[in-house]
Amino acid sequence: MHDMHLYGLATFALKRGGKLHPITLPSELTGETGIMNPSIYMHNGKILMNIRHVNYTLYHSEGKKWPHQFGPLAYIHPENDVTLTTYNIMVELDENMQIKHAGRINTSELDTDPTWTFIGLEDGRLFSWDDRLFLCGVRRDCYDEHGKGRMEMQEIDFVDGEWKEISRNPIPAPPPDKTYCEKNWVPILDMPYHFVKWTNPTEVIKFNIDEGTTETVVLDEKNKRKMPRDLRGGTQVLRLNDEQRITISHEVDLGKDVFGRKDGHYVHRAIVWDNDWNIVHHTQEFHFMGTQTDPVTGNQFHIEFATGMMFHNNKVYISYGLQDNATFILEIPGHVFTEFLERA
Amino acid sequence: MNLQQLVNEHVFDPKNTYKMFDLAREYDKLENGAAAISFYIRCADLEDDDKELQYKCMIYAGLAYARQERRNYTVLGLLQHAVSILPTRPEAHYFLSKHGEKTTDWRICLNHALLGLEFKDKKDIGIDWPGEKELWFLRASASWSISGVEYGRQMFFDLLYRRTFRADKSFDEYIIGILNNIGWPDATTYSKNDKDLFVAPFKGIEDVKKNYSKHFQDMFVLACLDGKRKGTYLEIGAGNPFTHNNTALLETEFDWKGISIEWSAHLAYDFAQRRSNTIINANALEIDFEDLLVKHCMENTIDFLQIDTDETSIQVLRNMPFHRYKFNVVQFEHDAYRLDDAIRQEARQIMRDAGYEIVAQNISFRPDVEYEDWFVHRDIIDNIPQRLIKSDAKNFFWDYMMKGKK
Repeated sequence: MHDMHLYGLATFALKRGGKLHPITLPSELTGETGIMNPSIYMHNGKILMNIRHVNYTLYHSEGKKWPHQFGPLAYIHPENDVTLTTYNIMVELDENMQIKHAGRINTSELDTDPTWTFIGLEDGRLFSWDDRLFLCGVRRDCYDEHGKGRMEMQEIDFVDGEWKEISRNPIPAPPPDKTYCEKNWVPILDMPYHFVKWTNPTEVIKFNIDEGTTETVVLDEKNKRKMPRDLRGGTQVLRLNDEQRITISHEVDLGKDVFGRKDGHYVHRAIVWDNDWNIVHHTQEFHFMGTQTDPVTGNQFHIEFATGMMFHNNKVYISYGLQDNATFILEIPGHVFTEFLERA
Repeated sequence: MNLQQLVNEHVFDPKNTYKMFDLAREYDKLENGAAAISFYIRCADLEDDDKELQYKCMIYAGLAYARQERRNYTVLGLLQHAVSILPTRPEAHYFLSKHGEKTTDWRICLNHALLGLEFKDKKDIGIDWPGEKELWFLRASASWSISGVEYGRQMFFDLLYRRTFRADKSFDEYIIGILNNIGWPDATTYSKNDKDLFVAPFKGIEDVKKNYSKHFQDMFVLACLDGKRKGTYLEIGAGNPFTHNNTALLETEFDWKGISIEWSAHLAYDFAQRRSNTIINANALEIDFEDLLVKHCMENTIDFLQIDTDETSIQVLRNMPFHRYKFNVVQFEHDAYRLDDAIRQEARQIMRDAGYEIVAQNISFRPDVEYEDWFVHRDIIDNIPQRLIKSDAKNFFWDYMMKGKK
């Protein structure tokens, strides 16, 4: 695992027959700002991926040598636009992970006047239940003027030559629903309308889409494992085998530079549950493509976020964003992924 | 290599900053600016030794942000980082100047254009930038935009006629368009740097550091008379003793004597304070010039006559004692661009009848504005440089007096 710890999972995988697919989108579609947090998913034989496109471009001086005026980590929006606006772009991929079609999801019929500056469905994970294709992510533009956020299931379909939002289903937090912001709930692909809300301790939520209610169906505080950080939702939760499910979660260190300005780095971790939602295995923290190591702490300074995973043709595909600016799909041979799970 | 290959190269050798840079460039070419920015900044952060590589990363990251529009602080910051890495290279200064132009921060534009010009001759390190020509242009734009005064117009004029770089027709047309819009320079003076461009060098031209006329009138007189020293003149409509004055150079550098007439008391008193030769504060229409020249003991041949009294120039010309006095060189301001053409035609007839040849008609101070005719007496026509005898219907002063652009 030497090369994984030194250079990341991408290097580890490529040295063992894997591939890393860079995903680019036409500038006419993006204006060259960030494309990130891709969520790959196979639906009815088609490989689809949702990509979050934002109106900013992240500036991250990982080594802090060349910081922005605002610090080493800054979100660079248009100077006359205070919003953080998210668009979702759906792409269809061929077996070689080349884009066959890309287009922004048309949400115009259900959009409302935003009540806050974070606009759009953020960090959408792509999945289907009951043969209906959904994105689930957090929306913060419709609840109040202070950024209250709630998860939402957005049903989408390809209609009249474009991807279109069919319905919008807000998901309340479990009673008493008093929290400020809920995000990164990840769908359990083989359990319709169930999400892992929190990983450690694991909390599973059931959503009644008809009634718009939620209930906690799994939560055992005593099951909490000792971990260095909170485990946040990452990819969808997939069946690993008959006894186990798996996700790639992420963890965040929001540090500051010596001047007290914002900085941060992300790591990931594969989490394996048994059928009773006990965490039976997890890997060490890892990154995908980090390059900058703090010589004192050994921390890798980079921002990555994996929000999609697909098993297909005995390979594992993990889709992730780099620094909110770039999108990749890491293709890992099945046996290599197993080696990674066992040894990492 | 394509993007896929470059990604592979990077992943197999992730701390190789050159491979990282190549990957960033490819994203940049594919107009995926956000991804390019990530790898540019990451590359510059990781690189410890190669300042040129860091410099390029900062510039290209800045340009990628610039393409995204309305991220001006960030563009500025990245380009300033580039300057801090290699302050004596021109490229970052050029892009900062360009940024100043875009954001109408004209002092930034001017300062960095000037700095870029200081370092314009540095060895190329493979950064795409348009070179010296644009720096001169930005300098002119900023100079004009900061103050809107003559100096800025003159810079655009210099871009067109005094440049040291190659340009193309479209660039010239662009500059002409700007000059037509903001106005051509009111005056263009000769400087010692123009010596090699001057069509008719004369004795002593190397001593001329600058002239005073608006459009080389004094240089024309000296060229016709091969830099004559101790010549004589009659200047009707003197104006300021030096600024735009046609006899100041003759007096100060070539020891000419003469009489100047100026109706403005203020200008005449100023002239008297600052010049040695005679000034008369009077209305030229009220002067008996024959009497004047006699009383001042002028020789019958006077080297230079200037008539510039605006609307009354033709009346002054009618009063000239050509029957008794001969002038080697005559400059008559007919202002045909704004006055009746009959004035110009009558003046030419008077001059022809008095024995003068028109060697440059319709001298203009921009390509389409005609205001003066320049004559020499037939007795000396064979002595003046043939290059000064033109049959053109009009003569833009620069093209008439100067050789083609470098």
